[in-house]
Amino acid sequence: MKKYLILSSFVFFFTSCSPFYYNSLLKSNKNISSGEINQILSPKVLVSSKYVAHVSALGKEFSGIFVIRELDKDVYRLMLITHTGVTILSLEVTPDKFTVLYCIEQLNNKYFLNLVNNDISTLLYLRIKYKLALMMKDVKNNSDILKLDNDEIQYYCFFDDRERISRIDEVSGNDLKKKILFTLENDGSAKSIEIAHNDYPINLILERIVEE
Amino acid sequence: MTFYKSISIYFSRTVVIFAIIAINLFGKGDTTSNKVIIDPSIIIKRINEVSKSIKSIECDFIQIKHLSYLSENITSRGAFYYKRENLIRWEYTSPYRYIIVINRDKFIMKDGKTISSFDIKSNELFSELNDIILGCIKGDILKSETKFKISFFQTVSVYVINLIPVAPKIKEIFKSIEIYFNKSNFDLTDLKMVENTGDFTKIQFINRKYNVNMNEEIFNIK
Repeated sequence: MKKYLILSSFVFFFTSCSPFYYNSLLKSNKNISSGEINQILSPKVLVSSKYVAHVSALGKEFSGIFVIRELDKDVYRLMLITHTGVTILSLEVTPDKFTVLYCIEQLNNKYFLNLVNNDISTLLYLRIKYKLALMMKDVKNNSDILKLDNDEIQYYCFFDDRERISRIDEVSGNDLKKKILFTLENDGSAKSIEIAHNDYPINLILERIVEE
Repeated sequence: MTFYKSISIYFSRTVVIFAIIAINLFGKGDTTSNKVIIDPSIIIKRINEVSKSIKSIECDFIQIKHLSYLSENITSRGAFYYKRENLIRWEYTSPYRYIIVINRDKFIMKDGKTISSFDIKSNELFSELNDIILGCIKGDILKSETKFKISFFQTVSVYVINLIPVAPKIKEIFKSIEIYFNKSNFDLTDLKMVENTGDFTKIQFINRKYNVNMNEEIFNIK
């Protein structure tokens, strides 16, 4: 019996302390100001651009054109249209409001629209919604990672070799909820953006349209 | 059937209908100062005659999507193919590659390497749209007043057919559809689809060739 308890404790201890990437990060000595947060997380990547959107959802795939324009400071209009020009989704967003201007019937459900709202908020408004940020250190890879934390959800922002944001992980506890990958142009705008949800079978890839 | 497929079908069918009606059309249109044509019977007759004479169409297109809140339009280009009785290929080549094929009762889309297809007959609405297309090919689509409220206009250089959807499903998407064609030779100028918001898609057909030999393989996507 005693041996069994020792063994069980050992197993419990081992598994509950199994290495996990985010837990392995160390707090860096680098300080970061709110101004720097604002700059790092600037939504320049998406401002006034057009993308081909490839959506993979529940085993189905479709694509269309995604258009975004900044109407005013932190106010954006976003639209999803088919390749043939038909509008299927039109939104206006601010940090505090998500307005559906038009949505085709088949997309008009709370589950989907909440997901869209969450993704847009991550892309555009992280710097507004999160005031607390820490610089973390990935010792193994010798890289800095910006951590945004509101107790429930944490965002880990990774940088490329030009110190531009290249990836955002949305984490709750130890669970990765969502990963966003950026491929950036020289001017900092996004050539492509990939959003992969861990909890839902929905992935989105945006590829910037370069018109001749 | 997914929403996206539904919308693609609506649009594709509608575009094809008017492309076929306007078969003869090409030239620059002038949409200013539209005058109502009270008796369009001659125009309708001519359209029907032309429709019957067309066995295939091959042309290029320029598509402009105008959004009211964008300072610049979204422009795309591609090629359009039609072969009697019911084969259509709508191929976008710039700035993205995307293909829509309607092959008899099959609707096929190709985006990069991803190919999706489904049976049009599996949906009553799509069957109805299929009938509209056939009616168009036979030249009697303009009698389809249960689907559209139809009126005719003219300017100095063009005739304009204006269609206001009556069918609820199409009415949800489009406010109106306009076809412009050159008066002198019935060549198509533009096809314009206006949404209820005022945003619109305008397609210009250029470099048209009629009754060319066409390999039906282009209407199969693999």
